[in-house]
Amino acid sequence: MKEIIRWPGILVALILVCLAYFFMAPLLKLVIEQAGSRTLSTKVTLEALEIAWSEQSLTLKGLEVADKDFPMKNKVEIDHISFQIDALDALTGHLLSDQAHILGVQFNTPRSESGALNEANDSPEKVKNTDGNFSIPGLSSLDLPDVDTLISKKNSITYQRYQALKQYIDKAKGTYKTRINALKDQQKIDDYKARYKDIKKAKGFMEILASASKIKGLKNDIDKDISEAKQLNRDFKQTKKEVIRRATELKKSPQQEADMLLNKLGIENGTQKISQYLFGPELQAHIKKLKSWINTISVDDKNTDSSAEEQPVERGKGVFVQFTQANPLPLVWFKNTKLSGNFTGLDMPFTFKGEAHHLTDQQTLTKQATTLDLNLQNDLVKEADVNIVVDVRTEQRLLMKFDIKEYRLDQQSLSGNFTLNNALLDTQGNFSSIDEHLSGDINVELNSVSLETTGDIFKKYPAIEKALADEDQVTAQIKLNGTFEAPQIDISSNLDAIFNKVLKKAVDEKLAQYKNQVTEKIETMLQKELNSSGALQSELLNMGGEISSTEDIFKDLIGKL
Amino acid sequence: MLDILAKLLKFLNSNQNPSQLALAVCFGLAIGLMPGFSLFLLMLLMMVCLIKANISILLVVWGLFEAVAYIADPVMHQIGYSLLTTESLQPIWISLSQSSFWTLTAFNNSLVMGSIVAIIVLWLPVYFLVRMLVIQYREQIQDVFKQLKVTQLLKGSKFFHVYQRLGN
Repeated sequence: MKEIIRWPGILVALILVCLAYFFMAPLLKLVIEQAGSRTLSTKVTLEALEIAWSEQSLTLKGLEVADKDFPMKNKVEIDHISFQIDALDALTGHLLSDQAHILGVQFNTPRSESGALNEANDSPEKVKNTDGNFSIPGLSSLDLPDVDTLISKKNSITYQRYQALKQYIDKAKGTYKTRINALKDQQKIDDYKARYKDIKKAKGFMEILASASKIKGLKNDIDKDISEAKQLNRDFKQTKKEVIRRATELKKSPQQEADMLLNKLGIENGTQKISQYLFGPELQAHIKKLKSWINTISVDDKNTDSSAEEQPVERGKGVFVQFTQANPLPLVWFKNTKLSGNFTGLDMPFTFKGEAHHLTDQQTLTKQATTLDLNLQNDLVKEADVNIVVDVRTEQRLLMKFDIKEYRLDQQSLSGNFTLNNALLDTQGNFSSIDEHLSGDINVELNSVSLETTGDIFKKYPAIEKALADEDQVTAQIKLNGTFEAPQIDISSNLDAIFNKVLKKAVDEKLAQYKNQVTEKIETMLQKELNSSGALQSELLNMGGEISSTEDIFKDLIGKL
Repeated sequence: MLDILAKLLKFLNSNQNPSQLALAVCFGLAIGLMPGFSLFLLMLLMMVCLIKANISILLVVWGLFEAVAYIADPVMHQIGYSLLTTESLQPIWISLSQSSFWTLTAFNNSLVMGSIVAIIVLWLPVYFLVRMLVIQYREQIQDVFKQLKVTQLLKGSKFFHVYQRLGN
């Protein structure tokens, strides 16, 4: 034993243990940075790491997770994380704890150096500002289009009706002429007369007997013509009725066409959902923000799964073969966590305090959904509570409930030409998203409202401006549906009724005047056609005498027989 | 370089226990073959501190086997990978992977596993071979060397002065 053991070596080993003790913190820091970077595919850095051996607790300070798409930005920055931990788990890159404190959470903070692992050249899609092109259909239609540009002969329904009438009359005229000519065929009538004379000449018993059958034959032929003449009369009456109907329709057509054109312009229904145009785009912007926020907190489970076969074998590195573990551990799992931070980086002017349960990067391993109960705070709000459940085990599921009381809004630019000077907002709602599909119900109550309009469009309608200025309370029920990409937002608000009432009053007079202009224009444009329709009708109707006389000709002949 | 060679000869010719020399070679071999990211390496270094093994010889052999490890890398990876993916051994690997300690040893790395196998296979043969060679050298070759003309010539050289200086 004496020969084998190097006693001074024990001293060296002790020195090594001491060194390990002192270097454990930098080593753990390195492990956390590397494991984090590998899992999130973005740079994860730590400012400092402290180990309290007696309490078996770890404190991480200045944790920064770079944004993959914006390397000069941190997706998340956390000032202070402290938790009790198993040192061996930590050395294998697993941060697991029953109790944790995560304080000073901030989003989208600037970085001093690039956080790109691989430089990405993709520039982010710029948010399109649609305000410049914004228009409210109901209001824009108040600037009525020029009558001349609105109406064209080619597209005029009145003109099309005239053309149809003309075609109908022309066709009927042709048909009736042919049928009259066929009936009034002179040769046929002469033939009937000759046959009649021949019958009349009959003398002697045998001739008279033979002429009786000839009379029967002649009578049958004339009866056929009489029935045809009767049918002609009936058809003509029908045609006459249709022509009169069409002519009456044509007469009323310019006015009908004017109504249709105005409807098409949206004057009747365009302003029913003014609240949709006021608040819809704002809400859509919030939904987009929410989506990016979900992306911020979601970690793709697939990132952490890697099989040995997929990794290229690098000389001197080998490959790590992953084994199925009975109870595999996530990289991070804080079962109960006290949270604080602020949402200003997500364009939400709130600081927050609260609790989170089962904060993890891999819910499939923890088999628990992550819940956050947050109290939002700023100088402008009396009370704001948000409850969020994130469950990505089988599908990307997010449930959110919120209750905000007396949130003071000042100088909020709404879409289009509206500004909310001030208001006190009370809102409660729930919102859920499953994968890309979203749904939700939100109740909004704005008290002590001061809403004003800007821009030229409203200058013409002081009544609208006054009505909005007088309104002290705005309520809205918002229903969300659809997907994040194409959200369907249905907003019902008392503002709609107020706005429509005022707007209707304002536009009624102008609308009547415009309608007359449109009617007159159609009538003038189609004056020639409308007048000629009378002559067309007369031409056809005059055929009536000729048609009725046709029947008389054959009746005379049958009388003689 | 001359210093190292002289030291090696000095230890061979000294009264140091052949087992210690053989152990030094084995540790040098193990440390040289073991990849640097494993807890095993740390354990080997600790053992070197505690066990009387010749440090100079260990350092030389370590350097030598670093080169061997680099050359034999693909073979060791292949051996390790085959063992880690062998169906019949899966229960062992799975049970080891449940423990944080074993995870730290990086036993599931193909190169670490290949190195462990190489070390286990080579340790005893190398130990006994080196020990036997040292004994044989001291008993039979050392005196023959002294009689050789080349050795006589070397005694007058710079190398011998270095050797002598180490002796003093």
